[in-house]
Amino acid sequence: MNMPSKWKLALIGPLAASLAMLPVIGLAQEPPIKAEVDRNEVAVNDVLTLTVTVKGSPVVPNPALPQMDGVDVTVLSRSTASQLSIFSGKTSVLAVSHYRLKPLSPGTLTIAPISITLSGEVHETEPITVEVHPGAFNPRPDPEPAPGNLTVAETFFVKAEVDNPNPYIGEQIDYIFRFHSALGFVNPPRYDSPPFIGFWHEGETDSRRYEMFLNEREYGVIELRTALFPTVTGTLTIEPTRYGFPSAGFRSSRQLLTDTVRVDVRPLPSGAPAGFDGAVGQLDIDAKVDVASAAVNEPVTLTVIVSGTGNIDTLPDPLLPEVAGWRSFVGPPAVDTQAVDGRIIGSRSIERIFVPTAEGEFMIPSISYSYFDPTTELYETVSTDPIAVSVTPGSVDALPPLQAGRDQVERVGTDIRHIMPAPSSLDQPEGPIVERPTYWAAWALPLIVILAGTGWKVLGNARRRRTATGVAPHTRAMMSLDNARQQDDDPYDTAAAVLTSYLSEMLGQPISGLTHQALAQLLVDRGVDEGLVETVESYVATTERVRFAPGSAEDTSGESVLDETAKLLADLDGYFA
Amino acid sequence: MTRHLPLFALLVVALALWPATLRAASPGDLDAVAATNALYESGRYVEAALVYEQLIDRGYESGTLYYNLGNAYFKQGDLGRAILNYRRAEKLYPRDADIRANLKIARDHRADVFEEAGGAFAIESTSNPTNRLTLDELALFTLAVWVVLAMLVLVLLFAKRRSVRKSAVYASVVVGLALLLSASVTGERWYSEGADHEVVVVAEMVDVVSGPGTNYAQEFTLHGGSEARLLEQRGSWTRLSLPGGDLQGWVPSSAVEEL
Repeated sequence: MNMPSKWKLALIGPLAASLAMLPVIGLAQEPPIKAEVDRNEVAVNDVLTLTVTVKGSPVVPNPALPQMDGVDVTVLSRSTASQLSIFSGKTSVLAVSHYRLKPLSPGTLTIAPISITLSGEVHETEPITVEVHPGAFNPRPDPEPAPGNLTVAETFFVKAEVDNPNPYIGEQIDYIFRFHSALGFVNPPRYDSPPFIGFWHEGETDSRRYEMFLNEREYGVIELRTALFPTVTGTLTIEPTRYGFPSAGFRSSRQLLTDTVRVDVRPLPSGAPAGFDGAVGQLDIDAKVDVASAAVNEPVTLTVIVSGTGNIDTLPDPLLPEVAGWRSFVGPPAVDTQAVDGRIIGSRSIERIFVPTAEGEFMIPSISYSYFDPTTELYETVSTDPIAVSVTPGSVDALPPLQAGRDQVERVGTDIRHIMPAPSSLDQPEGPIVERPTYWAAWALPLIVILAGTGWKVLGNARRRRTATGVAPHTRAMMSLDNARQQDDDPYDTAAAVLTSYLSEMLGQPISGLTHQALAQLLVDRGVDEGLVETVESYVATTERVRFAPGSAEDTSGESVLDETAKLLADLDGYFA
Repeated sequence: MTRHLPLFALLVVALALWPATLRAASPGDLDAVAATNALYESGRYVEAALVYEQLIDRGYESGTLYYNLGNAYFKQGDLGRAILNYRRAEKLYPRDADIRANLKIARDHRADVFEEAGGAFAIESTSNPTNRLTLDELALFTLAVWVVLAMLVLVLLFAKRRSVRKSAVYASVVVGLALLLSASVTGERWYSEGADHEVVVVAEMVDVVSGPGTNYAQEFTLHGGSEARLLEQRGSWTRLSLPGGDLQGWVPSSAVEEL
């Protein structure tokens, strides 16, 4: 497909041109078949385009290439495009055939009528003549579009306007956007609404589709309405609305723009009544209570409803009454709006919770509400009737009502914390306590106690030693065994030490270096019974073994070891005494 | 052990009588505090501050007085003296939430912005848990630990049962380590309170110059409530250093007040 650029242009140009004209041709109130050429005078070897358009439902036949007389013609190419459209629920097909013709000789080219048969009826085109000039030919400027032939811009266009270009501030107006399509209704438009600066707007309130005739053409019209409420006076400008026209087939996407719309907003006239707070529309007010009779401290809910036509969302709330001696809480307003026939209507209700604090008959006063009616250009005031409420004595234990509209606690100001109360006493300290002698005296006190205790202990031991030297060896030995019992000393160590000390003293020589045989001989020499000598010898051997090999001890408690030692000492003392 | 009870009793009595060494206030002065509080509550902040100052000049050292005085100055818009007295109150009542809250508010209102809210000194005062204790509290705690250790030593000396003596040894080691730690913290605090002097700018605005005199170049400006470390004093000039240590200079001594 490496086709030269000029060939591409030659092929695509006429095709695109014919497609652009497709809707124009298709919707014309003309016979279902039509043939036309892009020009009526050409030079030899120029290219001429013949377009044959056939419109029918639900199918159309392909037209045959007509007969051409007068000059020699070569058909360079043929292409066909078709489009299905639904218009007023009726399906139609538009088929367009393009023939690129090249006259090869001068003269008058006559294209014979082209005929088709639709629903059994024969339709044919008018014959076409084209003058073919020899050599170069300068074509005359294109004539103005003939009546009945529309440009692309005339086939699709958008318009925008407001239904009232001179409203009062706060009065509803409608911004109307219309999309016109000579091809009937197409895909839903991509409607980018403009920023409505200076208006409160409620979005699209109405959408309509209808057909209309314009310049003898039938158009499908899509109309979108947006409710606007001017919030400032003076001249306001609504920027153009953009409409994205989708691409389809060979047609590229397009974007259409409406014109800028100007709105001159008038201020409200003078003469507003007292209490008027800017409400505009046609409004009414109503009030009711949930109970006509309540006990003291029981809530009574007053509901005030402002309803009607207007900008309900931004209506000022009516001034709610107070009832002397009653506590009251106001909740947030509830708004309900809807669009009916393009007009915004709705209601705005406000609740006030009253808490009667005393019994009796009470009257909630009338509530008035003033507004400006732009249709009559007059201020109006509507009022509710007073409401009677009977309050009976309440229960002492009645809980106060929950407060409506509880919110997160938020800090609204910052201040330092309050002063401290006067203290119960005031001190005049003399600096830190670490700098006072008494503090360090307190440190010395435990030290003194420890030293005193240590001295006490040393002196006590010395005293005990002095006392011990004046008693018999057997008595000292028994005291040592008693001490060992109190202090959980090792029994074998103690037994060995006590026995060694006792025997050394009684035998008059140290026995710690003696062998068992030498010790036995000394005891025998002192007249100790041989059986007791063997017992002593065995006992000494046992205590020594256990002392140096703790694991070899039999299952003997410390207490019994000490008892056994005491018994042995008593037996020995019998001989020595 | 019963033979040694008189010694322990003497120790307990000595500690119990410790607060009696402080001089108590006269009832008239206590009434004066209540009357001054009433002045404050009626919005007479200048007079209230004056009386609080007089009570403090009479030697009473109370976190309540300093805090209330700080409030009286804050209400007058004197941020410097407000912060000064909040800091003094904080030293005496380091765990009081009201003092900390008002000190933060006062610091937030001052004109000079430091790297951290309150400056480095404020960080020092809150990041260390031992700073929640006063020097006196630390000293008494250390003394109490020493007394416990001494009692354990006595148990070691006089207990006859070997198991008791063994337990006393372990407990003595633990308490001895606690005593070392506590004594270190107390000593460090004692040293720092004696060696580190802090000042608060009480002038509305003061130029900090490079030397002790008006003929030196101005380096920066401080506003009331700025806290700094006192480095040196020469004549009627004070050299100070701001948190971080990069900024330092000299100001007239009358522009600052030491904590």
